[in-house]
Amino acid sequence: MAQILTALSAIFEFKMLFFIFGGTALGIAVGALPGLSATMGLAVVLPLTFYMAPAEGIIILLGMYVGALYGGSFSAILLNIPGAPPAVMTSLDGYPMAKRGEAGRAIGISTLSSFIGGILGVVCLIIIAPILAKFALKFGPPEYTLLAIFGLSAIVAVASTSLLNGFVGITIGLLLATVGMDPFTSVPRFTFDRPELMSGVSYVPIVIGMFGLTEVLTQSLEMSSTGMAIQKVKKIIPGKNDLKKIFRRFLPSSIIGVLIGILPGAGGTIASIISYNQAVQMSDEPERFGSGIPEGVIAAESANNAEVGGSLVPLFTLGIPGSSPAAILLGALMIHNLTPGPMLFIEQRTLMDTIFIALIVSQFALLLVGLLMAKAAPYIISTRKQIMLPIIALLCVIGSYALQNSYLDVGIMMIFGVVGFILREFGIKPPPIILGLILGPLAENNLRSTIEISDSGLIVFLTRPICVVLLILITLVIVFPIWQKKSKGRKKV
Amino acid sequence: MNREGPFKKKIIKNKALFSGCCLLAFSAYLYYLISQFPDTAAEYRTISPSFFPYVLATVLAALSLLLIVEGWRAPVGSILSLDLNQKETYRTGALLLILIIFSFLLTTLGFIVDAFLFMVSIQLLLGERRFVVLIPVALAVSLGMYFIFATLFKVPLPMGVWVD
Repeated sequence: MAQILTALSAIFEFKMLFFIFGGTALGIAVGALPGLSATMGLAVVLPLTFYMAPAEGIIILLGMYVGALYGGSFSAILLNIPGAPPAVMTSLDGYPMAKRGEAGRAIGISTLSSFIGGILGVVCLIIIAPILAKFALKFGPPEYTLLAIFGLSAIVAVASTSLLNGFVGITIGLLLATVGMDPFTSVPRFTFDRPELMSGVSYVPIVIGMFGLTEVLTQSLEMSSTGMAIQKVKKIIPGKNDLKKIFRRFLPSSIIGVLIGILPGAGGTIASIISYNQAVQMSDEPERFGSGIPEGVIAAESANNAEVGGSLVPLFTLGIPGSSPAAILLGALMIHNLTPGPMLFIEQRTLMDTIFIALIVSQFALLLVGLLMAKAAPYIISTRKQIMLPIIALLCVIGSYALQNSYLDVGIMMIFGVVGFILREFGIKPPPIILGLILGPLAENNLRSTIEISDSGLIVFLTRPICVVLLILITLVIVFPIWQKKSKGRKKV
Repeated sequence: MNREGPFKKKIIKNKALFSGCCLLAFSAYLYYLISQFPDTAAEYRTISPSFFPYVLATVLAALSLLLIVEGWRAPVGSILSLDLNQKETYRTGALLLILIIFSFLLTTLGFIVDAFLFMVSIQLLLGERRFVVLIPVALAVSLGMYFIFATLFKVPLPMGVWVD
């Protein structure tokens, strides 16, 4: 109880509230701009958090995460272009509403749905995370090895269009993680006799390069503006009928969002797609979906914001990010020497309470700031690329430099920006590479520990119950998309 | 007359085949690098430091072969989506070049001047021609970022040759 009170008093200081509201507002602006994503925004801001206290740095990133997922609905509704990938389902009904002159109504419904879904997601996080953390105390090296493999397999299966390319991305990421001194024998690996590489490749510049600079280079190939007339936004506050619809619809959508968020690699896009499809199936008038009905916006937005809480469950308890933005948050924890897992809830209880309370306050910030920014939404989303792209490029350079005042980090950022651009040409996307880089040490160190301490070698993976469950999950996660693709191919024939 | 040899034509048949071949060559290079790891202290451990990298190199080689098979079966396609005849491709290259130059000049010119020149040049490159927009935006961004990074977050940014 004392820790909760300490956390409450920390949150309601002016500086913390500034970071929460500021982070949320920045996230909304990032999410609203087509072409920018929550992951990119978090990647670029990540190095700044190095100069902050752990609570402040993580809170500002969480605010951005919450804001960006909601902000994507602005351009989805006004332009039919999702500002962030999870807003793709919002545009199906949000844009038709805007075309009828109800842009303000759609944004108001989106705001309230995101708020309520987000609150439910955080409540689920607060309930589930400590339970899962206690359970994770039973994990040993074999369990952590398979957990890392499960996280990597899940992101390939869910986040990659091609399984092969996804596994190539993960392997590249795992190889990058082996650069530096071997933790068991101090033997230098892939260092090319360079002292700067002895401690490994720095994660943050790679993230900024692959999510930030790659996007700038990709977007500079296509500079055309939307050319669309943007709706004025009026009458934002939802009426009584819309409020009834929101309260009727938010619970199943939010639960879907939380459950999908817990799955490593799934993310807000999958959550909003599944929630929307479920809403269509459960509706008495499914044919009306897509014509501009509030239920479509509610289903999409409740789910994609509830997903935030869900994705933080495996992140904080097991160190496995539930989404790409959560992978960036994992980087933030690493920067501040915080190891996710059960010990985080024991040794850093006050910090975790502060984060949980900050997440709830972020939802209120989303509601307040979102409604205030709604009127300015047309001006935000019409920011020209000629201004936006150089600012992002500048942030990439300064962010990389600021971490250690090192030009090496700037160089790494640029190299991986170009590498990410080239790999994207061949269908190899950044998330599997980054996850391989993050989870590589977890996988390798625990695999080697398992083999060294176990008398039965690799058979130990079949003798421990949690390992058997994880093996089954890994198999399902890899086999299911292959089976799905084959059955789709058969249906076409 | 088609001057491409049959071998080259087959390798660049499509993206999967090309990337598979490149990755296979990379895997072979990885095997060479791993074989060069010092083996001191490895004898005292059950698992040597080269175990995991060898596993990964083997996995990469296997994936490359699968990509090659996939590419061999797939129809002919372009290797790159980039059109080297389009000015947009060169514009992207120029953006990267300016970014590299900007990074090199950061210590000499200092952050504010360097960022200002960077913003002006990139906006011009990307098609902004109105100086009433170019200059104020460049000024606001360079000064604003300096304020945020150096003053608020206390990040030590280079001041250049202008300041002792």
